[in-house]
Amino acid sequence: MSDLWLMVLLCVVVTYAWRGAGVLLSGRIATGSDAFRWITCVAYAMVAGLVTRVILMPTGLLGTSLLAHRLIACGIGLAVYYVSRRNLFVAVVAGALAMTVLNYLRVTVG
Amino acid sequence: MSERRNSAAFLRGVREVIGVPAAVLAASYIGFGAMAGTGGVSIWIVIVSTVAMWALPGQLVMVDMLQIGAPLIAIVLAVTLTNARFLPMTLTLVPVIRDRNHPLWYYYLAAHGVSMTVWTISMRRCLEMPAAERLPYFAGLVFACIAVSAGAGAVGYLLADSIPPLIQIGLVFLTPVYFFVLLIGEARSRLTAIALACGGFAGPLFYVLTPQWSVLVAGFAGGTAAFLLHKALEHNDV
Repeated sequence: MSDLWLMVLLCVVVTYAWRGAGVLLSGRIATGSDAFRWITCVAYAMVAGLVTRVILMPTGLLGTSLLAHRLIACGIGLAVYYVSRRNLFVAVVAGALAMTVLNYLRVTVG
Repeated sequence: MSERRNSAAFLRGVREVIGVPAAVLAASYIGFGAMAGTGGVSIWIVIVSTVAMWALPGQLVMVDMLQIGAPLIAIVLAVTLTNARFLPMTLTLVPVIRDRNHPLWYYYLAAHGVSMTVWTISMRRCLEMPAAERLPYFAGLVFACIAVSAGAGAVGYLLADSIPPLIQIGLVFLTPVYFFVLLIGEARSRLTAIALACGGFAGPLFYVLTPQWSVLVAGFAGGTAAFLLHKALEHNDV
C-alpha cells in the first residue's frame, strides 16, 4: 500500500472517529461547554481559511483567472442565494456560471 | 415491525433526497471531482473518499493539501480538525433517530452517514414519524446522498478532462462558491460568524507564511482567536 492510500485510510478513520464518538457520548456531554465551543471554532475557521485562500490565492487552473472575477462571481452567488430565498443550488450554479462567462469574455473579447 | 414498513421508510428517505438536496450535492461533488481532476489526483481517491470519508470539507482539505505537497501528518491532523463538527451533529442526531427496538451497533453504523445535508433533513423530518421508521428513513437518506455524490464526483473528474479549459474554470469554481455561500448564508450564531471571519483572515495570511501548514495553523490560530474573542464579548455582555 502506498503512502497515498495510507493517508486516505487515516483520513477515513479520523473522520469516522468523530461520528463514533458522537454515538458514544450522545446524551452524556454538554454541547455548551468551552472545549466544545473551541473545537467548533477551529473546525469553522479551518474551512473558512481554506475557502478564502482558494478564492484569493488559488493554485492550478483557477489561478489563471482574475481575482476581481472570482470576487464578482462569489458576490453574484451570494446575492442570488438571498434573492432566491436561500436556494443553495441556484446560487452555486449562478456563481459558477458568472465565473465561466467573465473568464470567457476576458479571453475572447480581451 | 415489518420488513415492508422498513423498506417503505427507506424509500421515503431516498425520495426526500431526489430534488434540491441531490442537485446541491451533485453540483458540489462535480466541482470537487473537477478540482481533483485538474490537480492530478486519481479518480479513485475521489470515489473512495466520498464513500468512505463522506465529508466534503475534509475531502477538499485532503486533496488541496495533497496538491500543495503538505506532509502526511499535517493532512491527517487538518482533516481531523475539519471534521470535528460531526461530533456535535451525531450527538444531537442519535436521540432523534433512536428506537429501543434497534440494537445500539446499528447506530454506530448509521453514524457514518451523518453529513450537513443528511443531518439537516433528519433533524427536521424524523420527529414527525413513528420511532421505528426513523432509522430506515435515515438509511435511505444516507444511501441516496452518497450514491449521488460519488457518481457526481466521478462525472466532474471525467468532465474536467474532456471540456475546454475556458469552461473547466466554472466547474472548478463550483466548490469555492458553494462553501462561500453556504458558510456565509448559514452562519446562524455569533460564535460561528466570528470563527468564519477569523478563519477567513487567517487562511490567506498563513498561506503566505507557511503554505504547507497553512490550513492547519490557520484553523488553530483563527479558531482560538475566535473562541477568545467570543468569550471576551460574552464576558462584557455585548
